Amino acid sequence: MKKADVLRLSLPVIVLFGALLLWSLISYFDLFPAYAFPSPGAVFVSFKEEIATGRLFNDVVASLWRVAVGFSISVLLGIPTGLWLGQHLMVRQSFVPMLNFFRFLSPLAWIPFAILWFHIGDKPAIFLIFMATFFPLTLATMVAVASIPSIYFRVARDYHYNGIQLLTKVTFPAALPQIITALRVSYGIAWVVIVAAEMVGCQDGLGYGIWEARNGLRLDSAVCYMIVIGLLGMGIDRLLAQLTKLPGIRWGYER
Amino acid sequence: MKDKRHTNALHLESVSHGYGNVEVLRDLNLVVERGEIVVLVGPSGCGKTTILNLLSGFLHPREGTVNKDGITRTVYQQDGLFPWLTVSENISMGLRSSANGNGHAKNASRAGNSEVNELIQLIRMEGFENHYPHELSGGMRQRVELARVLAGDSDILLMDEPFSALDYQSRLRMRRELILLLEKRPRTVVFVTHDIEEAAQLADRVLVLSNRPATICRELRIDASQPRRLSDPSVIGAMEETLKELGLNTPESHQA
Repeated sequence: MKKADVLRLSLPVIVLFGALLLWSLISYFDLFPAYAFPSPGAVFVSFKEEIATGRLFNDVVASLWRVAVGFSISVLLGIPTGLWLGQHLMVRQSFVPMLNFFRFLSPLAWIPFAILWFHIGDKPAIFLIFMATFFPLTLATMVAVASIPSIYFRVARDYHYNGIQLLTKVTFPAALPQIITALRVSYGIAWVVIVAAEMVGCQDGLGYGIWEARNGLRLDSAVCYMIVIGLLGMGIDRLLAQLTKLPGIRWGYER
Repeated sequence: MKDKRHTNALHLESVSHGYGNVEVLRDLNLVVERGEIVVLVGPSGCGKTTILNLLSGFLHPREGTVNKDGITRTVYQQDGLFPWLTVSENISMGLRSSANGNGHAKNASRAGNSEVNELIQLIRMEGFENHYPHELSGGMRQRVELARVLAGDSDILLMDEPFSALDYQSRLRMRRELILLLEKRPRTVVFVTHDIEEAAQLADRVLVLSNRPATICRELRIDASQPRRLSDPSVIGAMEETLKELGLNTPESHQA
């Protein structure tokens, strides 16, 4: 391995250990009361407990499922809507103000509606994740389509791309790199929203775990859930980032 | 289609066009014979690209008629290739025919493959079939563009300053390449450029356009055989004539 590679890989680890050390020192010198600032050791113990009881695993699966369903609905509705809006100036002009309006509403504002409309179970959380991701994803897809260089459409005309073929073989691949960036950003939103979304109507999930830890004043357990949420979020983003390396997509990131 | 060899490929009949209040073309008449290479030169902003857009059907003239006999395809200055397709996929776009919008039929796909391979050989890009445009140099990309417009059943090539984004040496090579490709696959060509040397080297006929609103102010026929050397007297003569017409070759500067 080259020296630059060693540095690139080891520096983040050093920073991480520095943060851990700082955390340990703060709790060692009791700068905050222990109930309000759990020590790394306490978090580690609660980690072992949560794993031993199987609760953590169960919560991870529950949260992944809700995010997957809510985010998938967003993708399945948002990307086609964005493609449609991006292609038609009139439609775009009519819908954009409303879409923008909803984009700025915090998903927390929808919690009462989520409860009244969907009661308990997975549905309210899925609804909240959908509401948080649909609007930014749709708008980003729309912008991606609207900013496709016109030369591609002129070339497409020369080679007789029409209707559905124009959409699937020109418009969509031309916008795809930007759409993937939009997917990563909105997936990030979905994962952030899980904590709020699982505060209502759920009996499990990572967000619920934090909520319950708060009620029981078990901040060690809350930190343990926070760490898992952060790591999973990062991990799935890395997976989505792999999409940018696919052969028909990479061009969008190399100019 | 090929039995109409004697007919004109393109015919602009008293065409006028403009954008808003700006009159770009006034009463323009232009006939291009089948198999001819016509090069349009003129001051920048005089409406050369507008003429190509009218010929391709991208624009419709305000007045007059545009008649064309055959399928037109355009080569742009740059970035005309689809970046999400490989070299061979971009070239095989050229095999999509107008009659069959779904691309070539399945039983024709083998013939299509050999056609694409032949074109890749013609532009000397064997080994780059599966490369993407962003992995190629500017000159290579323009060669792929040439292969794409030559693939399949195209008749008329519209070239909008296709080599002007390249460095000088690549430009010289591309001119030669174009002439050799057209020898193997004859097409009618309307070529727009601001490069007078390029015009004189490539054209069967150079049309010098006036300032806006553009009309054809000079027509130069160059009969010398292809490929021409830059030092060919006919090339030098045509360049001087063109420069004179554009007011860029005064007798004083000529003597100096």
